Amino acid sequence: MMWRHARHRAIFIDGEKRAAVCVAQSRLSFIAACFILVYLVIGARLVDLSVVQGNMLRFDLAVEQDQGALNVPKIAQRRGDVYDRNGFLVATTLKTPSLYVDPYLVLDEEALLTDLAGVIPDLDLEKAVRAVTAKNRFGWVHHSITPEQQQRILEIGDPSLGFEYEYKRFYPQSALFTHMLGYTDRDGLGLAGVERSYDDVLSAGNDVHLTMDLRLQHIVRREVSRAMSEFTAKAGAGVVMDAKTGEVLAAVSLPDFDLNDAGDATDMQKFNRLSLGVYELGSMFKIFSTAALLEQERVPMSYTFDARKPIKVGWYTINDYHAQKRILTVPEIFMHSSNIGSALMGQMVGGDNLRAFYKDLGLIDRMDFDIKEVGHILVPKAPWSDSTTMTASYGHGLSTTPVQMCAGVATIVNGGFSVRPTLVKRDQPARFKNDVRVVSEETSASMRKLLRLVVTEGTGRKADAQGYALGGKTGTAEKSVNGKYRRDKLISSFVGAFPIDDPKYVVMVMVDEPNGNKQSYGYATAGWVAAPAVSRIVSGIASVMGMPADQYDPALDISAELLPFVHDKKKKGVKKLASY
Amino acid sequence: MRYVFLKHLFVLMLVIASGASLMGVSQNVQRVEREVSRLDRAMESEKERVRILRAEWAYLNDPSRLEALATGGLMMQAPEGEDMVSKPDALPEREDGYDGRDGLLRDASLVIGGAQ
Repeated sequence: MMWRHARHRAIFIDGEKRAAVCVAQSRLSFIAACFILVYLVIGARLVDLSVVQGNMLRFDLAVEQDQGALNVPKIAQRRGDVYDRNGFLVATTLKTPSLYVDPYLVLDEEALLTDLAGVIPDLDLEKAVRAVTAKNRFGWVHHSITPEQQQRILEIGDPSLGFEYEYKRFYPQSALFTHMLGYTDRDGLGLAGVERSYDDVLSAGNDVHLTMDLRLQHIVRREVSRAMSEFTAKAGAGVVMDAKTGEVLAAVSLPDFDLNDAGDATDMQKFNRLSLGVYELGSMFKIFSTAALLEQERVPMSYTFDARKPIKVGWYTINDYHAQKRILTVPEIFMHSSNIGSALMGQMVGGDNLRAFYKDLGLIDRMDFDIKEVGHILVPKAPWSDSTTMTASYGHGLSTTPVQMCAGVATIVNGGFSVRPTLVKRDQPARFKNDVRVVSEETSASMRKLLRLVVTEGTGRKADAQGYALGGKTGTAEKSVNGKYRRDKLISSFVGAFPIDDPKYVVMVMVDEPNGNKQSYGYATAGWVAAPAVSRIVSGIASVMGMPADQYDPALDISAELLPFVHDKKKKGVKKLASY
Repeated sequence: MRYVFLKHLFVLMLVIASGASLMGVSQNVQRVEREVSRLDRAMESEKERVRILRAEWAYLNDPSRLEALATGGLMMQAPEGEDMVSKPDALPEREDGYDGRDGLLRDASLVIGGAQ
């Protein structure tokens, strides 16, 4: 070898020269070693890349194909889900593939479109033809296809087709929760209901639990829509509220629409009649004016008011629809829903007191609610004159929302504690329970008896649900059209509480512009329209909640205590038509 | 001199060996990283599938759909309050004397006959 030979000769070289050769030799060998190392590394890397890694990659791909991984790319924060009070899913966000086409790669346009139409039944053919024949390199064919459709399109195996993944909000029960739940736009921005008011919570990926119960919601929706179709009504609403906590268990506004196609909904369908729409609910206010009388004047049930003649207040005359034309006791005024009697009660309480009482019940101010769609209620300006007080005591000239009405009734019947309606579950469910007392326990108990009397003897007899003690009040109001009250356009409603001994639920049904039918002898009043719907809802709630009908004993009915104050001329057992 | 040469050779071998083992480790790291990302993707896709199934479950359990199936297909109707009892004693006795205590029906034909 070269260097060995050189070293041999170096023996004969002396001095400086020898040292120089030595240095050169060691430098050369060092460089040579470096080169050898570099080539070794390169060689090893070559083996690694081509043999080792290649094999591993092939294995990985095989595994991946085996598992059929969707290979979904990560996109933005996913919106949180919404559940009902029992944990049923009511709104979720799914990653859905959308189909696009690269027209440049299309071989046979007609065959491709035929194949696609076979896979996607609701394919917009016109749009698809445009996308396939376009002169560019990208066109949407169809947004949001199902996993099965995607699989079948993959099986077509056309190289011009591809998928992009997008988030899509999905509402499994389509129209069941329409107005309270709300909906989002295509970009996931909440546009109505809880989707809108809780947009910041949901868009941060947090889940929301509603106070609503899917099963009760279905029952209410079924019965309100039945009442609407039986009486060919324009619209309707129904609410079930927890009488103690104010939690909204069911809230339906009809007509509604499929939340999955919110873009196609009409204004009529979109309108929230529960908390945004304000209505004159009429005689239901007698619950509050009577409670005010019992609470503030402490009158006994035997106290009488003269309802023999209509009252003239200024230009206005207060009439009874089914005039008894005699002196009436408090229970009689309530069960016959006498306007004259209620007006006199209001007069006795006084304008300021009555208004303050309504305010305590949350009927004067705009409601503080879990969704933003809350209507401005219409109330006469303070101070109330004598005539305003009299008409306001039977609900004339006051407009409120059905949810507020239910909260007011809940406050009266639950023992007297103020109730604030909620739609979204809190950590402490009974937050407002026992907080603020509005009426005394005694007044609340008297009101429960009066409400029961309406169902056993008065205008709400059709609301009686066999085996359950329901108490309630009818309300039939003429609609004001262009400032004039129309006798032929009514809002018929019924609000009830049950079991009336210790109410758990407040149930309300409101029907907008019902028309009388043969079964109702042409009547379209609350007793005929809304009361039977409430009765059916009560039976439905009882069956869902497992409340057997054998718990109620008619002999112990709380309204029986009031019968001595009812002096009906009519023979007992002869039921007269339930009306206003 | 021979000793020096052997020392150099030994160091060289050491360098090569450590280089090779380093490469081996880096290979392993890459492989494991690939495995992790593959599992991540698989998990993500599995989660997505679960979400779709949950949504489908909710859709299939839509009360109006179930009600239509139960009334139309099974001739069932919603229970009324009278259909429920608060105490089991309120139930009438069965003709065959079965009291439900053995947890099994003694004669299946009775059940089928009863259902008809």
